[in-house]
Amino acid sequence: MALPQPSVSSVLVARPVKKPRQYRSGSLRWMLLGPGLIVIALTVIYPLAASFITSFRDWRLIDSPTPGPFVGAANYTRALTDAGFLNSLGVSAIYMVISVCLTLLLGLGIALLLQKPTPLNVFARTLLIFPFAVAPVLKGFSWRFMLNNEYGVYAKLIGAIIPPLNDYVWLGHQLSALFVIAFSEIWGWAPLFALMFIGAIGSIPAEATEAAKVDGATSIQIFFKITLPLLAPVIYIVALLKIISAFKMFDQIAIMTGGGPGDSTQTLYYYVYQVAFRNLDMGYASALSYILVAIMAVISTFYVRTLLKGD
Amino acid sequence: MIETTTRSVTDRSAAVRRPTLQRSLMLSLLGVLAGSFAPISAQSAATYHLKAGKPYAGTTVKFLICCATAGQFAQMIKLTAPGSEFEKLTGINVQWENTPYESLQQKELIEATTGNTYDAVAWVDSWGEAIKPYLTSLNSRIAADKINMKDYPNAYIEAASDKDGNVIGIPFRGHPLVLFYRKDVFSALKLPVPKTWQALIKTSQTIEQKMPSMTGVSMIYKVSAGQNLFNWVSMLWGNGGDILDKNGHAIFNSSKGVEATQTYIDILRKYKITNPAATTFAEPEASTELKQGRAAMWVGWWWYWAQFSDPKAVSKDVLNNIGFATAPGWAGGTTANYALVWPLGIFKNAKNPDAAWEFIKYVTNTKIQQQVAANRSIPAEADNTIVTFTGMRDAKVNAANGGIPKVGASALKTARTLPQVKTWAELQSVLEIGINKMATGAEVKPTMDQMAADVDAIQKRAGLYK
Amino acid sequence: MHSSLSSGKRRVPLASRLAQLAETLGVLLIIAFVLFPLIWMLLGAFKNQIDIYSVKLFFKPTLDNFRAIFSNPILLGNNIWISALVSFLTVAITIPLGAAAAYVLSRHRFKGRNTLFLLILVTQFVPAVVVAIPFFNLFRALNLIDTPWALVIVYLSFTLPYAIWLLRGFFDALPVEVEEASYIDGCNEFQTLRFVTVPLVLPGILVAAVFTFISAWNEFFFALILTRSHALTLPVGILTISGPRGPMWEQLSAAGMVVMVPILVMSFFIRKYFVEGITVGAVK
Repeated sequence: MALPQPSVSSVLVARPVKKPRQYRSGSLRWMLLGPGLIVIALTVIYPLAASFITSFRDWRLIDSPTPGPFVGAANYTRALTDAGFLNSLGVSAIYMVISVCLTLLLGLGIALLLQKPTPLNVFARTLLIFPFAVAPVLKGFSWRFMLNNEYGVYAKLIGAIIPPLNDYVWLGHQLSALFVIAFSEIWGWAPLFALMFIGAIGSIPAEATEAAKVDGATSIQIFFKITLPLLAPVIYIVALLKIISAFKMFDQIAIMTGGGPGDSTQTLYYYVYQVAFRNLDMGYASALSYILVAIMAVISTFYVRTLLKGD
Repeated sequence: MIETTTRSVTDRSAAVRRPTLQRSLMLSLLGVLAGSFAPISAQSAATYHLKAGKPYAGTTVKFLICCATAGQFAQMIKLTAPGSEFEKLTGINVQWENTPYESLQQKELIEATTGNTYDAVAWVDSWGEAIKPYLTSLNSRIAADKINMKDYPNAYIEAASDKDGNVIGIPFRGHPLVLFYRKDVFSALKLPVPKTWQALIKTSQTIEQKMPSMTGVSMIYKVSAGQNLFNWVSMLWGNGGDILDKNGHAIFNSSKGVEATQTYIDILRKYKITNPAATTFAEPEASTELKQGRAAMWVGWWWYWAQFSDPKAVSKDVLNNIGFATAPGWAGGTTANYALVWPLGIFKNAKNPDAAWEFIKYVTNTKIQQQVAANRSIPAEADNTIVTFTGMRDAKVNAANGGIPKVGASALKTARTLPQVKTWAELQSVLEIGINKMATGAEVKPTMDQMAADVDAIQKRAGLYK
Repeated sequence: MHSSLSSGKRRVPLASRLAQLAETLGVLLIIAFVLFPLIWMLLGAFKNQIDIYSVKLFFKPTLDNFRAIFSNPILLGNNIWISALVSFLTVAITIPLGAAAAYVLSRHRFKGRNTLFLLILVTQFVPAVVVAIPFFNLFRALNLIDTPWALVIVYLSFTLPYAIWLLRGFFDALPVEVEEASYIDGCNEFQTLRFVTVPLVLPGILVAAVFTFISAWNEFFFALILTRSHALTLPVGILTISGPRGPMWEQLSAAGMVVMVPILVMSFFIRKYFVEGITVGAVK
């Protein structure tokens, strides 16, 4: 069976209800909305506020189970000279570029190959959702296992095709380790993006491409002149999603590298986790996590703006 | 009953003999009077220094621990389960709270510092200093029950004591480093077993020359719970270096320290006598190298020995083909290898500290430890680990384990433990990351200087010095 | 890929057939890329301790690994129960609250509605670490560490905003007219909601429920921080397999199947909505 053509905007963008209705009850409104809002306030607003206050205090659990004195912005200024933190900023940035670019390219490639609704393609499309649903922890274990240079099936396969890479230690070098970690994610994301792209390509009117063909345009020209521009909004949204998820990379780091080699795969999340739950430096960790909030705020502004524009 | 009691008592603990004997006699008398159904061969509470009369019957001891798949623990879990001898003797219900090893250290620290819900806890030596303030001193209990602390290696006691010399934990599980080697390879090439790291390097080179399909020695360089420090620190100490001075300053970047570290890194990068993937090897991967027949040697914990005769755990050419010797020392230096110990202690705010103590006495009791170490009936649960010298010299334990306990005992005489500092979790991270960086190509001296600076910064921030 | 592009230009049968072949190969490659890790894990689950270290496809299958993970001392069965309990509770709280809020945000017009809606969206951008630290300290004060409740509470921080988003889309997609008939028949708003609106968006609610379930089931970060031994969910519980005897890939693979299969089955049933769900939920 054919998958429906997913349209990103249909779900993401809330359509305004045409006109207010007399029979909407005001008291029912808050009865229905209230519990949800209270839960959100308790589970999101409370920790945000608590973290914010803690970020200005000196609080190392090793020394005291209760928060220590307020130290002004000391925790924030410490971050500016903390080599570990700055390193993790860089790692997250590199990781983000690798994983976003590869996911988009691969997703686009898959979409182009599967766009015609042949029976084989339709079958393949059905499979595309599976990797995403796999728990990140399992992705980590399975890719680490498959890329082990002694007994990993992918490592052996790559070694057979490209002999110089035989016995290459994939998790032993920063760049290749980041690639492997990225790939464990891409395996889930690229097929999913492909589905979105297939949907978007399907919504491109056939006349446009037909007309171009009549005018003698090559397929490559059609791709760059027609398909890609029409896909651009979807690509943009999808790229933002991937940036956000790349930024939050934690599970596979914990499973696959533990931040190594050295500290070269210590992402921001992983680093903050270490400061909070290994060094038990709650004050500093709170400050670091607030820096994460600031970064996320910038990205989310782009995201929200795009959504609103799409309305 | 008398016979079992006397057999357990050794020359070392002569002082213990009389009261124990008396008590067990009294108990057996009581047992007869009460018309107890206990069979004659059964042990009494006194056999294990346990309190008579089940004063803690019905209480639950919550024990925070990891690694239930370790053979020794797997057996101990059965020995303290409902219906077990321990349960019959004390009426205490023990809950082994099995937590993944990867996060155990962090969880123990957090439990300790933030008010815990457990009674007993076992920790790895180096984690101890941060949690010791939250554990109760066992001095009076040890004195009251006449536990013979002289029966334990110094390295274990040091790790299990606080700064003032109070004993905080009883050694529960402990390992000397031993050199495992392939007997067939060594006899085919007529190689002597290396006694120093320098000799080990030469031996490895010979093996790799003659047997190109094999790596000389399996090593650990990965960032993983500090495991890449095990061999490194042994080399550092052997060469006369140390991690910290007595004020807590970093001194591992001294010339001796740099020299030892250089050798440690050279094994991988210069001599290339280990799997190049060792930069991604933690202890499991490194031991797998030996188990699967890819490496000819490995300096690792003695408890692995039990696996080398398990056809399910090792490949055919390795099965029953592994020899062992005390871990190498430093040529021109000393042999001072790291010995890892899990002391077992009681949280200050434990709900049932007395019942926890009964549990601790039982599982650390030499007799129980001997019984576990000698029991090889289930291959997956076979484990030669034993913590007392008495146990290590026990004939039955040695017979069951090919004599490795005796070798371990001699290794433990010169063994050391890691520095006891409360900041260890952070220091360990600096050290293991630095080692991994050097293993992946960073220059030794500058990296070590940076590591030392980072360590000093941590110590300073923690208020250990100005 | 270029073969598919060139097919439009040349009409030479051979070249076209070659292009067709290349395209088919490409599609097969995609299928392999997608399925292979799953298949490899499936195979691994039935290999013994020796075969797991070889790349052979044919071997004597064994059920030992499944036996091992469900018996002492790993006892993965406990983790399944915890995971199921946590996931069901999360769904049970998220869906009613989320649907109610989503309904209001879709159907009612009131001052600040859009701001409120945006705020709910933005909460999904809050990094998990920020949530983790205060909750950790709170739970430890309340003695909730290592309980399923602790996990359910933190999971609500991302499942509820997400469900509201997803469900509002489903409410929006339902024409208002279907409700009007009910009002004309004299039903009040609550009755209409209960007997008309909710039954009609039931598929959407089901989708939201499955997504909520999946995200709770697969969650690792909070579970790692907030559990010890009693409330170990599957993703953290399988770490105990990677114990002192090595990674035990064969048992990990078996455990992987246990973690994966229910989720794969569920996602298969809602595959029509999968993409849309993720687009909303990926923000988590």
